[in-house]
Formats: sequence, structure tokens, C-alpha cells
Amino acid sequence: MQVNFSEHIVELESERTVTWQKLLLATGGLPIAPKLEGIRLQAVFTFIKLDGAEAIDRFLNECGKRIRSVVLDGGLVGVSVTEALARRGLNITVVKMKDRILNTILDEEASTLEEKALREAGSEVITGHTGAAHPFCILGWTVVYNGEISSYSINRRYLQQFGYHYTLQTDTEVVTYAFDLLIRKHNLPLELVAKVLAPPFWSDIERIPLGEQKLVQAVRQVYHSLLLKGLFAIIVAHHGEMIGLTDRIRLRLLTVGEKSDMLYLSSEESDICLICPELDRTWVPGWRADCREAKDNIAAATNSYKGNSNSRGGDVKC
Amino acid sequence: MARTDKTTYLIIGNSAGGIGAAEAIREVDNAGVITIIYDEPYPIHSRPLISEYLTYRYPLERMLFHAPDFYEQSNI
Repeated sequence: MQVNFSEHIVELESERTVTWQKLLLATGGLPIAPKLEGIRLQAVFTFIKLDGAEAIDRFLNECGKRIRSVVLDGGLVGVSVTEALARRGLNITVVKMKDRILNTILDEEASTLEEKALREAGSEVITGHTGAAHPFCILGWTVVYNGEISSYSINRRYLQQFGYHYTLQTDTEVVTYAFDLLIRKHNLPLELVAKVLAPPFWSDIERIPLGEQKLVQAVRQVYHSLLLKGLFAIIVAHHGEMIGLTDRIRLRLLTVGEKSDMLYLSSEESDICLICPELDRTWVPGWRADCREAKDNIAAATNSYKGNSNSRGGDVKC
Repeated sequence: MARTDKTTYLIIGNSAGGIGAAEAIREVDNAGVITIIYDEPYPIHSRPLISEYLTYRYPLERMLFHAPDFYEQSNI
């Protein structure tokens, strides 16, 4: 159907046209489908019109067995469809981003009553999972992070050019898609990914041996818009590997804890100790090496000042 | 040959909003031509009742807003 507002003409698919004096658009709304992988699969439905209900009905009849189902959002429509599906004998999990179902129309007490009723009818209710909740999992990546990324808008715009859609508008989403682009789509090795997201300063790049220097320079130029500014400690897990990354000036630290063959990563050592009080050892990656370098620099300076090559400065504590 | 109709009031959408507007127009204007265009293959029914439809407690006949001859009666 085509609506020509200036000519006051509507052209229907049957080629029939209608002219009007007054026009009212009462088309109703469209459901918002979150941009998730697989959202167009056969068993994903919206529930706003009768044809949606009929599609679910057909699907259930064809399936012919008890199946698990998830209802996204516990608003009025979500709750009513949950009740209906429960009566059809399904196991349902309602996921609500806010901390209680029907939060816009009921008070806390009434919400609790409805939640209890849903549970008694055999449904599970999960609430309080906002986009900021960790861990954030999508596309096979699991991300947790501590900090604040101030380059969010630039990073997001860059990633959008590669077809990434932002639904939650969080920093975590930026980090996840950045890892996905660099590792899965562009096949960069991990070390290089770290140099893209938290690159050395230009003044430091000058001191890198020439071959590697060119690589780091090129990567910094090409992926300039993916540089993560701000302070952060990020942990990314992906198919049997776990990656820790901090901002380049380490305003946030990553601490590593080891207990036999178990490895812990956290921005706070005290958090690791909560889970595993007796660690074999803990350390901060890069910290000692840096201290040693600083120590060496100071020592070298001291040496040249004293003109004594034997006195390596030993008073710098790590 | 494509057919052209002239109407005074054209309403796109045949649910609560569209129908409510048509009824309200009829209250003040008995003569003006009202045309409703919609794409659903069903007669007008209550949207909130589609959950009940899914449980088979309400067939479509019990979900209708109006008698089937509503449009003729109201000259829509």
C-alpha cells in the first residue's frame, strides 16, 4: 500500500485507489524484536496480533510435546501470554529487565502477588537483568569489566560500519563487538588485539624494535577508532580461553591469582581471596616488569650521575 | 482498469483506535463516506483477548467487537 499525502491518494496492492478528504492512521504499533542472533528463527514469535497467536498455536500443535519456552519481558502482554502458555502445559521462563514484572502498572506488592501466581502455575520468573548485568554473553563471547570507557561513541560508530547493532547501549557491548570484529572477523592474534584496544603511546612505539614498531604503528593507524580510552579492567572468555586486558596506563589493575591448576583474574585481589582464600601466589601482570624497567632507568640515571657502573639502585620497591 | 473511490474519511487500521474513530465520526456526521482499510484477514476483534484465544477459551466469534453487520449498519 502506498500513501501519497500531498495528493490525498492511497494506492492499494490490488491497484485500486482511494482519495480522501480526512485521513486517520490507526495502524497500531509494532513489537520491538531485540537484535539477537537467531531472532528470525522459526520458533521465535511476537505476540501482538491474532496471526501471532495463531502461529504459536500451529507451532505447538505440530510440536506435539512439552517444550521449554522463554517469554521476553514481563509486561502486560508478556504476563498474559505466559499464563496462556502455562495453561497449554509449557515450561516457561519469563525474563524481565526491570526488577519486577508489570512494573509500570502495578505496585510492588501486586507485582509480587502476580509473580507468585506465575510460579505456582509452573513458570520461572527472572527479573532485574538489565543490560549492565555481568557477565555479558553474545556471539560466543563472555565479557565482564570494571571501569568506564570514555571513547564509547567513537568505538560504537566504528563498529556499526561492520554491521554490529547496539541494543543495550553499554560499554560492555562495545568491548564484546570489538573483540568479535578483531578476532573472529579479522583474524588478528590476541597480542595484536591488545595493541589495538590498549595501544602503547606514540612515544613508546618509537622505542620498539623497528620490525615490530611498523606493525604496531600500522595497527594503531588502521584501528584508530577502536582504541579504548578510559580506565578499565576487562576479562573476556571464549571457547577455552580467558583474556585479561587493562587500560594502557593501568588506572585499573588486573590481579592474577593461582591455586594449583586454577587461574583467577580480577581487578581486586580481595575478590579472588573471597572465592579462594588460600592462593599459591598472586601477581599483577606487567607490573613487576615495569617496576624493573623503572628501577633500571633510575639505576642507569644514578649510575651516570655517580659515574659508578657497579651501584645498581636497589631502593626502588616493587 | 484500476478503480478509484472517493471518500470523506479514510481510516487506515481496523482495531480499537480505527473503529472508535469511525463510531465517533458517525455520531456527528451521518452523511460523510467512511472507508476503513486494513490488512488483517479477520473481522475486528479484541487484541487483549488473543491470549485467551491461544488457550481455546475464546474462539474468534466470542472475541468480536461488533456484530458482523456493524459496517453495513453504520454505513462504513
